[in-house]
Amino acid sequence: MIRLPLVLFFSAVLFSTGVYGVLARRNAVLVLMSIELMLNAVNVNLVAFSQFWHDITGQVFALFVIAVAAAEVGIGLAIVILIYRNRETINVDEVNLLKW
Amino acid sequence: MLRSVWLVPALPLAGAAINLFAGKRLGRWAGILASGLMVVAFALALGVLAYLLRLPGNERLVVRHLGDWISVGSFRVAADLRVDPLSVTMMLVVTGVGAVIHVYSIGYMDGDPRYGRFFSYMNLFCFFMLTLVLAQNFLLLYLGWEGVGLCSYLLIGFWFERPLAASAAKKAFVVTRIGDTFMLVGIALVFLRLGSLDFSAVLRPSIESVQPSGVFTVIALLLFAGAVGKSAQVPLHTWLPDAMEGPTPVSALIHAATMVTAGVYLVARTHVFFEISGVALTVVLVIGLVTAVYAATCALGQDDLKRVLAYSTISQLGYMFFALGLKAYAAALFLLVTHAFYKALLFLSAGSVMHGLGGETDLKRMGALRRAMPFTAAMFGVGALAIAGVPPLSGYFAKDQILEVANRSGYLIAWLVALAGAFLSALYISRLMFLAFFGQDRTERAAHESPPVMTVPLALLAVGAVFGGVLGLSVTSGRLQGFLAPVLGELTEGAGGLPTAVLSVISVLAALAGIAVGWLVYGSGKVDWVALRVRFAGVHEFLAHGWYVDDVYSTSLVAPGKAGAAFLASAVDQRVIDGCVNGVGQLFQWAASRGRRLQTGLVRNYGLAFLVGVVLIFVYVGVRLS
Amino acid sequence: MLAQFLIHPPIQLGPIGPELVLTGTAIVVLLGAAFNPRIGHSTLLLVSLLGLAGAALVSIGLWDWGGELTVLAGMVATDRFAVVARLILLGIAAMGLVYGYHYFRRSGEARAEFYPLVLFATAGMTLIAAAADLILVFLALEILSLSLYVLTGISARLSSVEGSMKYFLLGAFSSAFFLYGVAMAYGATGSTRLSAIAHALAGQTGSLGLALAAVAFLGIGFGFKVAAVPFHMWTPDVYQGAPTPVTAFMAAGTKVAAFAALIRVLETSFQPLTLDWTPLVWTIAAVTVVAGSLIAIAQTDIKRMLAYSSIAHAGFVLIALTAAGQDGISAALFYLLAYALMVLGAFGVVMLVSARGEGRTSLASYAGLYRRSRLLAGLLTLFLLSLAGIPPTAGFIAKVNVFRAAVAAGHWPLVLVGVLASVVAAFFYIRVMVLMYMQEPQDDAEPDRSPWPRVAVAVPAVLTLLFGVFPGIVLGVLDKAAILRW
Repeated sequence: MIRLPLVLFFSAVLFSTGVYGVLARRNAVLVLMSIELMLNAVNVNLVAFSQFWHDITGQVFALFVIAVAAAEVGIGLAIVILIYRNRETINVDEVNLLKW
Repeated sequence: MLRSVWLVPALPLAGAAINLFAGKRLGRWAGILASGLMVVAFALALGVLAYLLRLPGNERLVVRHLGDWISVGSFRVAADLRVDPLSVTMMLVVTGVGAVIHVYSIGYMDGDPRYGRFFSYMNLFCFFMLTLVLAQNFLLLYLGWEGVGLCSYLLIGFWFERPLAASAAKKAFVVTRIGDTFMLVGIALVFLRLGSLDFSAVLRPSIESVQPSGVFTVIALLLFAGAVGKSAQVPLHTWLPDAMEGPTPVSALIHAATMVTAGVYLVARTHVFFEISGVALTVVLVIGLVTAVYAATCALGQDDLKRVLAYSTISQLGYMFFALGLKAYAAALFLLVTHAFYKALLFLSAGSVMHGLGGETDLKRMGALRRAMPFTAAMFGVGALAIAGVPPLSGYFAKDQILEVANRSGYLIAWLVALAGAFLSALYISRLMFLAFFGQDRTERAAHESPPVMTVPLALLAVGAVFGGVLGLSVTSGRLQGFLAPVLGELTEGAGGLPTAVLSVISVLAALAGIAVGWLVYGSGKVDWVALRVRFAGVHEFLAHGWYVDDVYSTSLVAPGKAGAAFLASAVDQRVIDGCVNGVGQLFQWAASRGRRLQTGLVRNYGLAFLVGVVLIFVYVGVRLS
Repeated sequence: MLAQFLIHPPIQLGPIGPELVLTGTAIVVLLGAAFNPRIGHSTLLLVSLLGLAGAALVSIGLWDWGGELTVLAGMVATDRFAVVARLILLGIAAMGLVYGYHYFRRSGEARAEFYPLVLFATAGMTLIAAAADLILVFLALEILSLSLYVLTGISARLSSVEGSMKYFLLGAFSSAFFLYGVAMAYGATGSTRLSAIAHALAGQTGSLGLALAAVAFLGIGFGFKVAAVPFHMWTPDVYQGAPTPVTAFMAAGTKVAAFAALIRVLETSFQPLTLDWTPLVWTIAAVTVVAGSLIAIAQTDIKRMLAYSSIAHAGFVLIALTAAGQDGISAALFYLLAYALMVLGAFGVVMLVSARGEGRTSLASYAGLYRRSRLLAGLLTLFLLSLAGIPPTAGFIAKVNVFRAAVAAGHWPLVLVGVLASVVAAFFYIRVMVLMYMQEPQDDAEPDRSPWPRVAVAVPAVLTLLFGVFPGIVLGVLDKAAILRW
């Protein structure tokens, strides 16, 4: 039996890693993956709380999150491809036409 | 029928909107559309009248609730329309005379580059005027009140390329604003002291017990100040003669038949306050009488066709307020209605003269026009006889009744002064008539009669000017008086005074005497009026300048005001205020350009800003928890 | 067995009727366009509009819902708040569809996907307004967001794609924060149902630390959607990059939907923590109105300027939220309605001035617009006056209501900040008017003169004036809708 605070700490670390990845990576695909990491941190949380409360909702919700994440990745990759077609790069720092 | 009463103001509003946006494209149809809407509105108003007449006399008050207008806390103002004999009378005058003047304008304004704009403003004016008379509370009335002022401003300055028109528009706006400001304070006082702005809640005799009568005096005088400004009474009358710079249909509709009578309507509507006060009624009476005679003398000295009529309007409005001051509210309304007919007729005939003479308004360059424009001359003659008070035309009945009430009321001096005013009225209008249409031809170009689209409206108004009297043959038992009695109360007959027949003879004699003198001096050719004018140049100048009231204002008020304003503008405003404002403005500009640079266009920087926000929020959460 | 399965538990689909109609229409349009590529876009528009009208009818039918407070296992609320929010959103969607139909036809980028995407986004928006469970809030948020990411990038232009990418990356980023908040709320109370969370927090059976973290994370997620500072950075870029009709739809729709959900979550679930979150909302509102109004001054592109203005307006709605209870909700609803009208109208004019596609969105191209088209200049003036909160427009009444509610709740310093920010904001609105009326046109580009889009833009104009002069028409309805039932 793993104790709840430990799981929460793990998920917080996972989430923070994701946040760091989003902010530090220039490659759009890596940014996308970092976001996935954040979502999975949430899933860990949900399942842990589900266990803690002896309630199934959390696990069901986790499944929803996984499904939504899949949809999000689908659209995200499509947008990255569009960017690539336009600029032949997927470096998010080079996409700064709109500013100020 | 009553369900659609909102359409009466809504139709002109729709016309105004359409003509404002599509007036150019509509071309000639702009005028036809605007006039058509007014005719339909008039028909609807007639329907409302028919409905009201079917109800028993004391139940003739219907309030149509259109929705809540403003609801802020306990301050609620509904958008309600009040349909009662008084508002219906006003509504009929506005839509009826308004429709005729709209039709006339189709011809008069033909060829003007801003044709559609003109009709847009005219329709907008009718909308606001109808809002004013149909309002069920003071705030809605005030909305209409300011709205008609705005339209008046726009229309006086319609030919804003002329500097005179532009400055006249400004003057009209500023002078009436003086009264409006007092009126707004009065309305605020009504709400503060009487707890409501709704007419049904406030305008009832039992309101007397709510506050001491001094409060009502203050309220009534403040409201009356608004009426003085809008109805061009002494001392705020100076804007109306200048307002004649506007197109003539505007003078006829706004500055003769409708808007300037709003003050009369306001006092009649709120007569409860004035009666409780008593003092306020006397003020109304004195101001009205002074204005009536003062303006009649000024009219004698004018050489401009329209300015004569303007002073005549001021004088007639003075008579209305005089009647209000005598508590003869129905008689005042009767004069208002008949005056709307004959003054609109006179103005439109004057417009026809100007149309035929290429815009000429100087009486010195007219004369003998009856040969070139016989129809216009005949119509003008009808209007002149009506205003002079020759029986059986409408003006005779209206004026005669006011004189009768004055005689009965015991104010014998007031009666005599008013009688002198009646004599003067007959004199100035016959002077106008003889100078313009009779005598020698002094015109500089060939005059011609106006097209039917302008002459037919004249005929319609002439019918009203001739037969309008049947509406109120007697001061106590006339039709209009009986119709208005549930709102304005019955007139209590004064005990003394001369018999009615004698009074009638006296007032007819005064009118005839005025005409006779006018004919002798200006029409008979036996007196050289030009020589007379030279001999009494001082008197003439005095009257022509309206007793120099305007000049006194400009030297005593306007000039020091301008100097003070110039000082404030140059020294205080430019240095101190502008300095601060510009400084603050530059500070903001600087801060904005800094803030703008934060938006780097780099998505990762946006994420970083996001994270900063997250951290700050969690700092707060941490503080909150500990 | 089967019969029992069908009857029990009773499934009440009525309260999600509008969403069912919207998704159904979207699928029909999608399939219709897929199977018959030559189908006219006017047909697609017509069917989509019919779907919106049907959804609106169903929503109106829910006004007098007599059944349970929530249906579908506590997922969907049935109150009048949801009805009114839905009706506003459906109106926004209709305007967006009409704009888009015209815009893409003129720019030669007509794509059949536009219609179903708008309908799906609308379904997400209306659903979020009625969601009574955090799971549903999240799902609806994703439905609308995913559709909007695609809509932003629907044009092949680089700026459109760039806007789409920025919107997507930051949107997904903020979704993760939002989800984390949901998880925290679940952890604190053992439920994701708004009512259950409220009960647990009121009974202090949950963990306060987790609950506060939940409020913070959820607030961040909503703050992103409504474009509150400092989560607003995406707004100018996305509003500028997206095709103008999409911007109009997104600016009006997202804000209304996200605020509807935020109001519901704050006023039901976290109502027991009102004292904790009010200072937070207070501060964010103050920062948002000031930053939005200030940075807008320095903008040179009208779409960016309107984007910053929309940020500032989010701040004003937040001011209404500091006044909890019916008063604040009613003020917020009216503000959102007025905001939707003026922002739809303003972007509609921008679309017509651009004439074809994007371009001519710099403020300089508005110089002398009055000479080019009096109608467009007049309409834009009206919308700018409303945005600035000058009578007799709906924007004025909206601001007055918001300030009144906040003062009644004792937040007069915040109102002072709001008033000062409006003064600053008036500057850049009036600057555009000065440009339009007092300067000479710089080139002879003609604005779009098609008649029907002009009629469409006139609709919000008329309503802006109508609600500005007779706010009583809607205030009564909004007051009735401002009671959340859960």
